[in-house]
Amino acid sequence: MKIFKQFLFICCLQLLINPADAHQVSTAYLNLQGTSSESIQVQYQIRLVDLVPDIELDLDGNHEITWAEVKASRVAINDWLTERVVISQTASQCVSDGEPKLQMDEHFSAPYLVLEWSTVCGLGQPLNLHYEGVFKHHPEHKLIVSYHLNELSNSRILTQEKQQLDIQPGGLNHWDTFKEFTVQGVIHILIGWDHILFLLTLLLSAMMINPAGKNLTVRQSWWQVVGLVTAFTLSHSVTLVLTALDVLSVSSRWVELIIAFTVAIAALNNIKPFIYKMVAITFVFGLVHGMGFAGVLGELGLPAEMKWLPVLAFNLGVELGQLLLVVLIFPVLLWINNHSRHAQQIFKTLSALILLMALVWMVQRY
Amino acid sequence: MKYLYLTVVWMTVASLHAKPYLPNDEAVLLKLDKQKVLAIKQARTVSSVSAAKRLARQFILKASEPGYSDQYLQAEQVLANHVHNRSDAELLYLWAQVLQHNHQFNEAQTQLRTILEQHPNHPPAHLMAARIALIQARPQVALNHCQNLVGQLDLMTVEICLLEVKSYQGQLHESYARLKSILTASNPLPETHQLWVTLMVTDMAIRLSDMKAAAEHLAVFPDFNNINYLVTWSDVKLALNQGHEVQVKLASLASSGLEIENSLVLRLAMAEHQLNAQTDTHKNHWQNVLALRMAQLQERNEKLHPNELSRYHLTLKPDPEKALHWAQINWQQAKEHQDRYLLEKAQAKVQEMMN
Repeated sequence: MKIFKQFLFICCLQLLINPADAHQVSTAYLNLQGTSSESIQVQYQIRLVDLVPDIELDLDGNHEITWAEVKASRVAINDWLTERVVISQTASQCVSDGEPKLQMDEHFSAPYLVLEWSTVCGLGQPLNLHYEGVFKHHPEHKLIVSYHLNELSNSRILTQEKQQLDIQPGGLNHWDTFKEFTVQGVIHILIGWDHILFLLTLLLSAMMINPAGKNLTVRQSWWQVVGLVTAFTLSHSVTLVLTALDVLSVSSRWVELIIAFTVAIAALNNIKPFIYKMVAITFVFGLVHGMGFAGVLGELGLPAEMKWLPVLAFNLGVELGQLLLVVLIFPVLLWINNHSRHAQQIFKTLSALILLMALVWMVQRY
Repeated sequence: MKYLYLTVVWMTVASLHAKPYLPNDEAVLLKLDKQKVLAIKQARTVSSVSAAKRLARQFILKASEPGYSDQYLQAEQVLANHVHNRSDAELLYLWAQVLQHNHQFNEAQTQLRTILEQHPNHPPAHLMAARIALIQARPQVALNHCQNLVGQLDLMTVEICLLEVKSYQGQLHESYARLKSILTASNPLPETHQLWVTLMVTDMAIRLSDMKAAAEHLAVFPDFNNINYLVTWSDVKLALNQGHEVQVKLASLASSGLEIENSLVLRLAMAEHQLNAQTDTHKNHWQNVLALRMAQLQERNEKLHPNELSRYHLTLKPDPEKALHWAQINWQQAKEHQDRYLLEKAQAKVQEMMN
């Protein structure tokens, strides 16, 4: 404890100051190239300094690493590589033909060791890359993978959290692409709070806003929801597709700000109705949400060879996620409406909370 | 953003094919820092908890020096195998230091809460929790932590803790005046407090836009070999148009052969930029080094350096939208006055561009 107290006064007070950004980054690169034959050319580049904790490269202990020492460490380097960079297929590991060729390079003023080799895989089969790299002693390490296999080009980043990559080298598998982007669409709406709250506000409006001043029946509420969801779906699908295909281009900052604004207006309208043509206004607001969805699609990256399928699959995923939310939320709202005398107050309070949240987003996003 | 990022990736990847070479056998590819090599070896072999804590303390202390911030990696490595031990307050405290360094402020607070549940009178945990609460713009929480120190630490330390919090609760002028009077009364400051208090009083002067006073506070202890001190000192000197001093001091650090941190390279590049404007010269060594480092961060889609990326796009490579993008990410992580300033400046630049 005494040492610890000493540490406190020497160190801790020093560290109780604004932490400056002081992180050194470690990046490696992997390039895969293959055409019609089954042989894939692999080039892996890693900062020499990143190998120091794992491989004894300073053989003479003079704190300098020479090229002769790197060459003399070839066996250890190969063993390391075999363990940390694994290219395989469903049933088996791809077979490397011979030892990697060693070279040097320099990136961002840092010396990189370059390892080049060929590996024999069935090119028509999916490839799996498992990468451990130097995550063990460098959690911020990243691997930038680029591949050009049978006319398919793409790049991905592997991190400590994501150490696996599945590649379809025989050209894009339509079904897998469709599945991947559909799932991403579902995920996006399920984690996108602004979209969820907008949808919730719409569902609340179906229980609250009635131009005739009467309570809606269950049947009317359901039809109202069908109308609203259809309008939202149609409009955001249009802008999602147009934006994703680069036909429309709007600053993401404004899109995000206006999305928050749409949530605020819809929530305010529930509290003090001033718009009764909900389907029309939902259509208009949905146009903006579609641009927001497309922003996420841009982050995921569209394969150059195939744009329509991912866009449509992502949109489908969004619709499925939306449908799931409606199925989960709307019956609860209906139940409250039918069983509580204070249903309208509950809905108004919910809308007020959503309005508050939307206002906070607007300030943050502005 | 994605397309920009992909472009950077592809440019980098394309460049990777052109240059591999075969060096001569005698060519020295890399010079190793003895202390870093020793740290790596120690981190690899440590097994007992007490040795892990001792080493982590050593690494964390060293990591505050320019060129050694990667010692946090070794600290993280030696602690990682033991952090499941939720009853060792010191271990959790050291782990919280690592998390704070990684900008994982919520996670760091969780560790500190665990410590305080078991040891309510744990001054280091309260001090650190107060600091992080200020970073997270929760001054009332910070105040509670400082108040908990009464009776546990000397009055001066407790008062300094409280003054910093109050400076964020609308009492900046009063806190600054009181802190200055403490400095006068406690001259010389205990060595343990020098860096902490110097940077705090300087920070208050900066928030009051009194850069001259800030420079005077820093000049009392001009020799701290500490990244935070050097960053603050550089910012003050740059604000006073004394970029040449920044260049001389930071370039000497860089010449030691260590890879200095991005925050210091940014200041060097800004100093070079300032000197070019003052003397009508066109040197761009540090600006090029920084450009490479920033490209590397963008290539990695890195979220750990938003402050630097935003400043870079505000000053050296003006791009208001990118500056705002990174300032917003930075604001999600930290909410102190300099973070707010960065965000507001970026917003103003975007507004300016739109008008």
